[in-house]
Order: sequence, then structure tokens, then C-alpha cells
Amino acid sequence: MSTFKKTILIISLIFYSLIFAEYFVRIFSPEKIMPRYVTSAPYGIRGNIPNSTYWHTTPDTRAHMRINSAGIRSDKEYSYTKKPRQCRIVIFGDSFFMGYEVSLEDSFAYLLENELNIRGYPCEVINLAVSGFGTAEMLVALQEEGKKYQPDLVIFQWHESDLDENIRSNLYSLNKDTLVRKNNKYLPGIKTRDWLMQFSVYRFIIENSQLYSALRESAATKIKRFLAKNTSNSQSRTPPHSDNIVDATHSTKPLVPYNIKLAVKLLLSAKNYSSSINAKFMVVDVPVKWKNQEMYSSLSKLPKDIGSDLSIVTPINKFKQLESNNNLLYYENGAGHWNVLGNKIVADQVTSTLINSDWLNSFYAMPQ
Amino acid sequence: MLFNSFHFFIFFGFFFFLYYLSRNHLRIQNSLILIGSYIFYGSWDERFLVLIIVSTVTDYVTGLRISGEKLTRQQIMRATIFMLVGTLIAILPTFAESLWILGSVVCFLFVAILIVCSIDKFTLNHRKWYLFVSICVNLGLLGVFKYTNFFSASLVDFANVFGWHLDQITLNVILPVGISFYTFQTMSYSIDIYRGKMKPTHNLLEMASFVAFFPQLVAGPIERASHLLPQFFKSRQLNKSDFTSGLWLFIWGLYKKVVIADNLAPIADRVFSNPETMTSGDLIAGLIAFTFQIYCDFSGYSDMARGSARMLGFDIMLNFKLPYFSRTPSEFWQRWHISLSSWLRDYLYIPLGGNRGTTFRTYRNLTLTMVLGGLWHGANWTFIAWGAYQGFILVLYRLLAIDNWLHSRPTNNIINKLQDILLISIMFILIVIGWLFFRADSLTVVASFLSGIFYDFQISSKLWHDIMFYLSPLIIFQLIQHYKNELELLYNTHYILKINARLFALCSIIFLASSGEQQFIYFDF
Repeated sequence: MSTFKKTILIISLIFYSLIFAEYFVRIFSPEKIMPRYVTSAPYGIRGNIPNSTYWHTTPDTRAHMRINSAGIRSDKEYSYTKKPRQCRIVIFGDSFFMGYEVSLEDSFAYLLENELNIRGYPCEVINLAVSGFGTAEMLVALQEEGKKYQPDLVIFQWHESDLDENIRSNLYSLNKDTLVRKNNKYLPGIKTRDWLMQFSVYRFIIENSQLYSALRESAATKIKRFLAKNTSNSQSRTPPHSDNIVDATHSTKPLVPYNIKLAVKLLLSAKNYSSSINAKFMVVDVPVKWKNQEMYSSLSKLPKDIGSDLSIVTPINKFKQLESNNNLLYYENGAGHWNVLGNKIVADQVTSTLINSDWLNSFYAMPQ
Repeated sequence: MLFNSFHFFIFFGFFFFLYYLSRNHLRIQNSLILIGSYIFYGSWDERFLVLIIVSTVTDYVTGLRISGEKLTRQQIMRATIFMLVGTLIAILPTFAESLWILGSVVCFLFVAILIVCSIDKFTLNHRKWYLFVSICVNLGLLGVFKYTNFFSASLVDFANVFGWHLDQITLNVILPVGISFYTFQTMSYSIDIYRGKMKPTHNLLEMASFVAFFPQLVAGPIERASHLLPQFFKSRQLNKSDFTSGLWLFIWGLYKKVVIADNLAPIADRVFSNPETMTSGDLIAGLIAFTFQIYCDFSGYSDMARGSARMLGFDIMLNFKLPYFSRTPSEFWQRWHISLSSWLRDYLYIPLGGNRGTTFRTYRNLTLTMVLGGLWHGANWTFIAWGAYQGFILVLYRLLAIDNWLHSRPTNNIINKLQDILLISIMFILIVIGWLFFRADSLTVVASFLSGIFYDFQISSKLWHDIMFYLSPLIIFQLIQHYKNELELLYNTHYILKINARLFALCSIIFLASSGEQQFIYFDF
């Protein structure tokens, strides 16, 4: 066989194999297609690609993602200067707050704004969430971008995955219990992604190929595991069986694992920073629900006395009550984000906490 | 180190590279096989290497003496050094706590020398006595490590029936992986020499490599020395065709293991762990799940063993030949775990008298062979019951003379095919019932399982969806294999079928494999 024929044969075989694999995945192992349209923000971390529109498709749902010119998931544009007598809430989080798997109108940020407006509080909610963010990136985003929106209230999402994300990003570390900025940049895979995004073929594949999605997910999970293991090993950050280790200097006090210490410091730092720009600070708990396992609060990973330092809202009780009545709150076949009901419950919970607080009522009672 | 683990792929890749480099040096290749096999086996627990070394040296020495050859001083020295150095290396990682092992091996050597001297001095029929020693050592290892606790517990239970209270002797030992396989393999070496079917080897290296050959060390096939050992003395051709067919055979085995067996395992486990709470349909579905789990687990391992050996230029015997297409129990045992059933036939059934005596003796020999075959699988009454059940259906089919009728029936294609389908279906149901004994933890579970199935009998179950999801492709593949009479579907078929079957197997392994590395069922036997 001539070299030309051989080449044609090999190319055809590769092409056929790819088509075969794509249909195999679609038939036997349907995979969610959730492209991440992220790029580098000017302040060294990830941000949503401005003016991008794309679809998220899972076996459970299909959601249209529309990003405005500032990289915010919204159909509106926001100016840095707020209107008089308007309470501005700026929220930071990952894919849960960004509203993955639900339409814009069913996302937490949209519902929160809507609920508050209906109840007579003309608040504006600005959603600075970016998929994949941990607390460290949220803090950087607050300091670099969030403050420009002159927030009256800052809300941070808290999910147990933040413990690993904070270690992985390596943006901050603890030096004798003091939080120090370690790196100015954390842009994992962004250069390659930016380069690939120039090609329409690539954009077509990430938005339509379940095969690509399955392979990417599998690779990402393995790389994340590897990175988390390496970072924690190299810096002895998470001592093994840390729950059982007791601090030698204070024998009655259990030794807190490094990743938890770091997360607490980051949350407290965000609170202090918010105070410095005259904004109230709140944390919203994202309960964890793995398939066929009992739901639990992400707060269970933090020290019990954290509630005395931070204002925390957790929907865990409501979630558990609804779950016991066979209500689904998470998409079980997709990426496991809150479904429409889940988003609504969290928005209701935060709304009622705010309405019942002295802070929001005094905000509108106060002459501006 | 499991075949389905990342560690094995790294190990095999590195091993193959060195093996290929030394392709023109047979002894270096054999040394590599020995070292590689010991690393492979030592990855479970390096101390168990001592057992393999003891078995190897015993059969090396007895093999030579059975054939009537005198041991040279060099051979004795080599065997002694191999045993002591091997033991030292095996216990090195846990030296302080394993020093007793070295002591035991030294004692064994002393006793062995005494026995050899006694046999040579006081007995006339040396050959028989050396065979006896070989069988005693191998069965002794098996007995101590596998059956002590079972027989001790059974004795206590038996005594309790008569009101006698005995203290149970319990050995706190883990079952060494693959001990039932390599002890049977080495025994076949000594017996074959005794029977004059083969000559003993003078080379300890080749003998040790044969006993420890890693592709089939831990779960068979139980090779015959007359088939495998000579391959260590011949220059092995590492050709592209063997490598490719071996690779696809390995992938086919991997598909059966990680996609089918490992995904059916949780379903079977769930049903067998709590049969009282299951519906009749769930119990049947769980039993079917186990029927295919054990087939894909074990035949998958055998395929991977044969595939990896073929890549190294070795030919290992076929162990499974579409067993669920059997029409009769005797056909089933010619298709299921062929290496064990032929071993039992040659070294147990025939010496017991086979079918040479009266009909009653034939039936007795059949049942006894199957009961001992059941016991080989594990130290539990459920395995004995399974063996007895297999013996019973073999006898039943013999009484009905179904095998004879099959061979003598007139040629009539359509009617024959319909008869075959009926016989295969009946046999499949009988096999499935047999697996209930095999899988259940106790005979009480068997009883509650059977009462659960027949009380409010129904077939429907929610479990069928998941079971059929994994089984349907296998059934289609096996029908094609049966129709084409071709077991290596990924290599020896029309290229269109071949390409699609290969892509299907690869995609299944990538996207449908059960997460985590699950051990093979037969590693426990």
C-alpha cells in the first residue's frame, strides 16, 4: 500500500473512531456539556469572558448562559456608581452562585434581587461569581473589582470544595497564623484555553461534543486530585488524620488542619475588608449532596465557633425538610448544582434573613 | 498488583522493554521473568514469596529424584542458596518480625535433608516416596494456609453434636494469593515425571520461572509443566502478530473484568448481603448478576493472563470456551475453568478409577472429584455443597445418557438446533442454581434465598435495567463468538466487525469501567 493510501486510511480510521466514540458516549454514558467560558481578568485571576453566550446541556436540563460586557452573568450592564437610596449587594461564589444548570431567571442572584424588590426593598444584586472560584479568588475579586461597585452588602458563598481550591490556587498562605498574599496570579490552563477559543472548531466542539466533555471532565478530575495532593504534600498543609492530632503545646486543644485555618482566615479577611469599605459581610452555606448519600452542611468542615465571628446563612434545615418530602434540590444527572427549587429556597432564606435584620431596615430608614 | 491497575501497566511496560532488549539472550529473559514475577507477587505481601520458593525447590529436588537421577553437589548447593537467599530477600522489609520465617526455612532444610537421606537409605521404591514428599509439601502448604481454620471449626461443630466441647485451634493467617493455583501446578510437574510423561529439569532458574510465571501465577490457568516448562528453554519469537493478538486478548479480558464484572458486583453484593429484604424478582436478578460477574471476572483474568503471556512469546492453555453455551454438565466442565477440570480429571478422577469400574464406582468417582473440586475453591461448606451439586447433575445426566444421545442423534439441522437451544437453556438454569451455593456465605443464606425466590414468585425487578445495560453487549458478542466459533473476536474476524468490536471494547473501558480497582474473585481461592 502506498504511503498516500496509508495516510488516508489512518486519517479515516481516526475520524471514524472519534465519531464512534462520540455516539458511544451519547448512547451509553450521556455526559453533560458545560463549557467554561473563562479568561484572565485584569487582576490575575479567572473571569467570565465578556459578552459571551453559550449553552449548558445536561441530561437534566438546558440553560442559556449570557455574560455582559463586564463578565457578569446578567442581561443588564452595571455602572460602578450606584443610584441614591439603592442597596447594592455584590455576591461572590463559584458555579452555584453563577447559576450553572439553571436559566438566568432561576439563578440565586436574580431571584434574590427579585424577592427583595417585590418586598419593597429596591436592592440591586451584582453577581461576580465565576465557576471554579475558591474563597481566595473571591477575596481577590472583592478587593480588585467588587469594591468598585460600592457594595452595601458583600455575600460570599461557602462550599466545602473551597478548602481544596484555596490550597490549589496558592494565592494566599499563612505565616504564623497571619494571612499573607503569596502569588499575584492564578490562571490554570487559561493561556491554552484563550488560544483554543480563537478557533470556531474548538468552540463548536466544547459546546456540542459529549466525548470531549467526558474526556475533559475525567482529565480535570485527575489533574485536580494530583495538584491538591502535591501542594498539600509539599507544604505539609493537611496533616493526615488531623482530626485525631492534638496540638502538643496546648494538649487540650485539637490541632486545626491548615486548609481549614486558611479558609477561616480568608473569610475573616473578607469580612474585615468589607467593613473597611463600609459594607456588611455575609456567608451563605452550600449544603453538599452526593448521589445516594445524606446531605450535609459545608459549615460542618469549619470550626463550630465560626458563627460568632461571621454572619452565616444556611439553608440546610429547609433543604433536609424538603428532601424528606421527596423534593429534589440538586440536579442528580448533571453536574450536581442547585435546581430551580434549590436556588429559590436559598434566595428565600437570604431574603428573609435580610428583611428580618436590623441592618436592611435601618439602611432604608436612614436618610441618604 | 492487579492486572486492572495503573501499577501493572507501568510494571508491564517497563518489564516488556527490558524483555525485548534481551530477546537474543534466553537466560537473561528467564532471569527477568523470575525477578519480574517475584516483584509482581511480592507486591501483595513479599513474605509469601517464601512459600513459592519452598514449593519450587521441593519439586525441583523431588522431580530429579523421582526420575531416578542423583543430585549433584552443585544442584544441592544451588537449591539451598536459592532457598536461603530468596527467603532473606523476602523477609528483608519486615526483618525483625519475620525472623521466625528464616528459622522455619532452615528447619525445613534440615528436615528435608533428613528425609532425603532416610528415603535413600531405608526405602526400595524411592520414586514413590519422593512423589509422596512433593504432594505432602504442596498439600501441606495448602492445608495449613487455607484449610486449618475450616477443618478446626468443623471438628468443633461436629464434636458439639455429640456433646463434646473442644477448643478450636485458629491460625491467624491471611490466605496467600494464588496458593491453590501454583501448588496444583507444581504437583502436576512431579506427578507427570512419576508417570514418565516428562523429564525433570536440571535448571533451577527455569523451574523457578515456570512456577512463578507472573501472567498466570495468582489465578491460573493452572498450566501443565509438560506444556509450559519447555517454552522456557526455547528461544521465544517476539513477533508483531503475537504481540497484537495478545494485546487485544488482554483488552478483551480487561473489558469483561472492569466493565461487566465490576459493575455487576455491587448489584450481586446488595442482593446477597440482605436476601430476606429482597423480592423474588430481585433475588433472581441478583443471582443472574453474579452468574455473569463470576464468568467475566474469572474468564477476564484468564484472557488477560493469556494475552500478556502471548505478548511475551508464551502460549498458555485456554481456560474458558463460552461455558454458558454448554448443553450438558460434562460439556460445561470442558468449557469452564478447563485447566482445573482437566487437572482434576487427570490427577484425581482417573487415579480414583475413572469410569473403568462399575457404574456405581463411576458415579462415586465423579461425585468425589467434584466435591474435592468444590473444596479447592474455598474452605467453606457452601463450596462443598456446590461441588456435590455439580457431581449430582453430572451423575443425573449420565443416568439419562444425554451425552450419548447427543453424539448419536441423527443429523437434522433445524431440529438439532432447537434441541440444543432447549438443552442450553436447561443447563443455564442448573448452572445459575449452582452459583447460588457458590456465592452464598452459608447454607442458611442458600435456604432463605431459595424460599425467597419461590415465595410469591415473580421475575420483574428494578435491577434488570442495570444488569441488562452491561450484559446486552456481552450477549451479542458471545452469540457472534458462538456462531462464528471464534473466541478472539477482536483479532480473528472480518475487519469491519473487528474495528467496531475493538472500538466498543475500548470505549466501554474508558467510559463505563467501574471506578476503583477491584480484586478478582478467584484471588481468594
